[in-house]
Amino acid sequence: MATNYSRYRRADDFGTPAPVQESTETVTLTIDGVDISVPKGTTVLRAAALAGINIPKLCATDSLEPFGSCRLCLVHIEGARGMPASCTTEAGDGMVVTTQNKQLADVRRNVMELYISDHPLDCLTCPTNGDCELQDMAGAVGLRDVRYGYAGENHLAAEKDTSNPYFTFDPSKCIVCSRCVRACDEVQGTFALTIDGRGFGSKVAASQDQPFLDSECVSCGACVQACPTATLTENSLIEMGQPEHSVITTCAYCGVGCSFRAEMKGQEVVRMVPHKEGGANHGHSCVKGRFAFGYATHPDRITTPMIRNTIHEPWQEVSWDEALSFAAKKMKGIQAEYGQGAIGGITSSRCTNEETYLVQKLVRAAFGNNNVDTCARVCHSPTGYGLKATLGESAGTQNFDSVMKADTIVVIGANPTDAHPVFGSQMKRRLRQGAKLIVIDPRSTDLVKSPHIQADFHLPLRPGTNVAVLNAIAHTIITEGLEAKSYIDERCESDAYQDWREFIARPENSPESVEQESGVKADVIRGAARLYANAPNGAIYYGLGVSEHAQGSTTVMAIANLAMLTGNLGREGVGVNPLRGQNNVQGACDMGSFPHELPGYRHVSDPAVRALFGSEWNVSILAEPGMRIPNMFDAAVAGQFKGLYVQGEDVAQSDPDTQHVTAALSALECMIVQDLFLNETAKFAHVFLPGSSFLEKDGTFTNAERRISRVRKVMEPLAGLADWETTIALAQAMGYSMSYSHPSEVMDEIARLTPTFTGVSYDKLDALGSIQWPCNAAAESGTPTMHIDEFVRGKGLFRVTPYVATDERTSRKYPLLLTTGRILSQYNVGAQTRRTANSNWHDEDVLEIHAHDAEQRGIEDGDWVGMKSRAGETVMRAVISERVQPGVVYTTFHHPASGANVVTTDNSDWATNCPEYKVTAVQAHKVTQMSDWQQKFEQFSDEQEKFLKGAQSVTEETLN
Amino acid sequence: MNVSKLVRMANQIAQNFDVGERDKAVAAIADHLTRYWTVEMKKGIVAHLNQGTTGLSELAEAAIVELSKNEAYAA
Repeated sequence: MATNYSRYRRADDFGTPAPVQESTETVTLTIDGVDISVPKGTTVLRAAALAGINIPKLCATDSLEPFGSCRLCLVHIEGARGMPASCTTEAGDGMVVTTQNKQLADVRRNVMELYISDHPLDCLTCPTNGDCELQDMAGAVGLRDVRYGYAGENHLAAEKDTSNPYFTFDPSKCIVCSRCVRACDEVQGTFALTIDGRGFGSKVAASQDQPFLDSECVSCGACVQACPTATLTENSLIEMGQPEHSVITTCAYCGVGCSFRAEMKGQEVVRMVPHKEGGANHGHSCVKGRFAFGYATHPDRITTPMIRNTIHEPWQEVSWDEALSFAAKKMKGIQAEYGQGAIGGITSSRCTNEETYLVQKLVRAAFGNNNVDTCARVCHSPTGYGLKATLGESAGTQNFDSVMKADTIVVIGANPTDAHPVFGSQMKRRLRQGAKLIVIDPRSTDLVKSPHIQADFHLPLRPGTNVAVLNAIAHTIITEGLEAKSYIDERCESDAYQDWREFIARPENSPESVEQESGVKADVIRGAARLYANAPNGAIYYGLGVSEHAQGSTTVMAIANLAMLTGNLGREGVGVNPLRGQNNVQGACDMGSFPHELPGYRHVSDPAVRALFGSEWNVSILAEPGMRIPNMFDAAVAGQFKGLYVQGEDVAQSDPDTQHVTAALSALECMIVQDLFLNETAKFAHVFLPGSSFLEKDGTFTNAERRISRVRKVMEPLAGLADWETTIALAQAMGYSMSYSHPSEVMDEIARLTPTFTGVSYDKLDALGSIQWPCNAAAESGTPTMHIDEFVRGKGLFRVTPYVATDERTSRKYPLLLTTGRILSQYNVGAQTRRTANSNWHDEDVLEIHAHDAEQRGIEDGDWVGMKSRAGETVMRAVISERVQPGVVYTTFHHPASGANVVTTDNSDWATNCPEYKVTAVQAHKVTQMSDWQQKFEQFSDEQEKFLKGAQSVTEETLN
Repeated sequence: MNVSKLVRMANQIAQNFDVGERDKAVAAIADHLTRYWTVEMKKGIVAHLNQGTTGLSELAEAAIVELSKNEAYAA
């Protein structure tokens, strides 16, 4: 059988990027006697490389703009004077270029001679031996001697900077080509690196010549990737040496879904290098995807199944068969005693499409009910509801590249430079080209102001007032006559539009009316409305700051209304773009994880759809929706729900109102947790089935732009089974047979049953790299832009969006509003990233509080602060911050002991029950000890750790 | 399930549909409950309707009266 493996070699590098302006015009030139046609705007260096002629180069690489400093890529051009640098010379029609002759060779050799006169000659023991461009060029130009000697003044004694946990900076090997500095500027957009000093004294410096770890560096690794020498090198490469093969796969962190080359030695990952051909990331990545993969082989991984009768006793390690039959027996026993609906399952947005599909199939077919939900319930369920209701499809409308054609970008409740860093960098690239920016967010995120980026309008609204502000923007557009009249006439339902128009024009929706409630000045709202409405291309990007509210679904519909109103849907550069949290949130939703719909967003009440799946699965599917996650918890507390299968989610940490969640979990008679680690949820489990990381299995992820990408196995599952195999085995143990020998067969079944996936197969994914659904007869290679000629639902539907203030209001008792979010280095509950060196950047969650609020409470930076809501109380360290407004506090939930979700409440979105994580009324005060909850948490966690260790030591004794 | 939670959810749904014609709003709320609530939740709220003081808003109550016309959800 063919493997996914390719022999390791450095990725192709054409020297300079393809021309930005897509041109159909071509030019033809002759290089070394070969006629070559290239798009207008292509450099001579790139044209030669495309034809297989490799001009020596050092400072040029095709991820960066040409720089022309190294003087190696010089060429002769007939009729041109001297020796122009081919990297900065545009190919011209009829040009005749010579890349190799004696004069060029002499110049290049002299250049290399100078470089090497100040470079260590330790190639044999150098980490990049075998993969070094400097070494290659010395070979290519035939350098045999350095006439200057090595004794002169040099940089060979320059000290290494090993402060960053993932890479080493060895300035003694630097040739000052500026590729790292340019990568930081052009690719990442952080501007942390610079060339300090002049002439011989020039050196690369991070921030104010600080150690990398203390500098503004965000550790994305673009500089490491760009470095042509061993100056910036991954520590894993330094330790392990060069990889021997590589496999293209997809990152398992955020919803950007970056494509990576896993560079391997046997079954060990040497490094992850972002794949240049990746449709979502084009060769860029962030600190998580590139560096934070060590969790996959962390000693905390549990690789043996475990069972126990109650959560108050030690775990017992058992065989897979024993664990599965124990689990099946318990689940069936519960159904016999409490009814068919007393059990359910939660699919994972971190697992593959195929695995998610199998879990929902297990629930609907083997459990015989619709009690299946996914963690998208707590993040983007309002997106599914709101976009389906207005546009007809529960997904974003564009690809990421679309942002490069946007003129005005609106970012609502999203922090892409932290939570979707690679897309954040792309957006910043567009902003540096001159696109306008509106940020609607209670906090001053990096996009509001950072190097070379400044929002034209920041609307720092009070948490919970999204709908009021968006309505006021729409009101402004309508009353100032800025709407796209002909687009609306042609594309949208007229009656609904008239109803909506009548509603939105009411005085209560004017910017002046909502100023008081939202805290945003009316003229700022009006200015933002005009900037968006008047843009040739206006694009809206939003995140959980939109969905995780009591009116999350309403806000999504208000966003869709705005896009229809201004004609900003159905072409590149525009659209409604939800930035999905986890890697496969879109996929988990597509795969029928919600209790009310089968794969492809088709409601269970539709008899035709039920018949379709029922006949394929050989069961009868219930016509009534099953329980959502919060319904499951409520029913568990009420004693009506007793068994739960959780794959790859940590509800005990991630879901709101922790004490309610743990009460529910404690009430279960059988909880089966399938995960990499004994996470917070697993501490309440009776059966632990070891999960497999994304490196250990085949499958697909679907990112925020509906892009389906392959996940490819690079190592055997540590516990013997990949997650999809475990679900099949559990179904088998429950008496329901699923026969698949490979995840590709699961995808074939999905394609057979789901109209938007008809054309998807592993063969096609291998051929195309990735596919954006819908992919079917109407769009054989997928659909980068949706709703082009008409909306999926036919005519667009304006939905009336009344503002309803949340019940969660400040009071004398709880005078502050807590809002929650993410930071760059940690991911979700942190189960993965906390087990990597990423904790160097964020080893605890902190409470950001404005100086004014802090002073009133006598709180100083670094103090322990108790934060109390009507749901609970927790304690964390305070950080005085200007990023939050007075009256608003902010934290993250990456660490379990910080208990951010002890404080969040059971309030939720009216339509989908997506929790209102973004608004909690709290009080904060200085304290000297942990909260009661934290003390109990610590005690419980210690006990559970003992139960785990007990199991492992018993097994060791037995084995000995 | 806890009835007070069902009441709270029903009221919240009703509030968000409380615009335009009343008949349309009542139908939309009933449809929403039909499409997204489990049978047990629907039965629970219908049963609660007969308990006198319900805590339901007038609009939510009208929608649940509508819902109760479906035999499958009758108390």
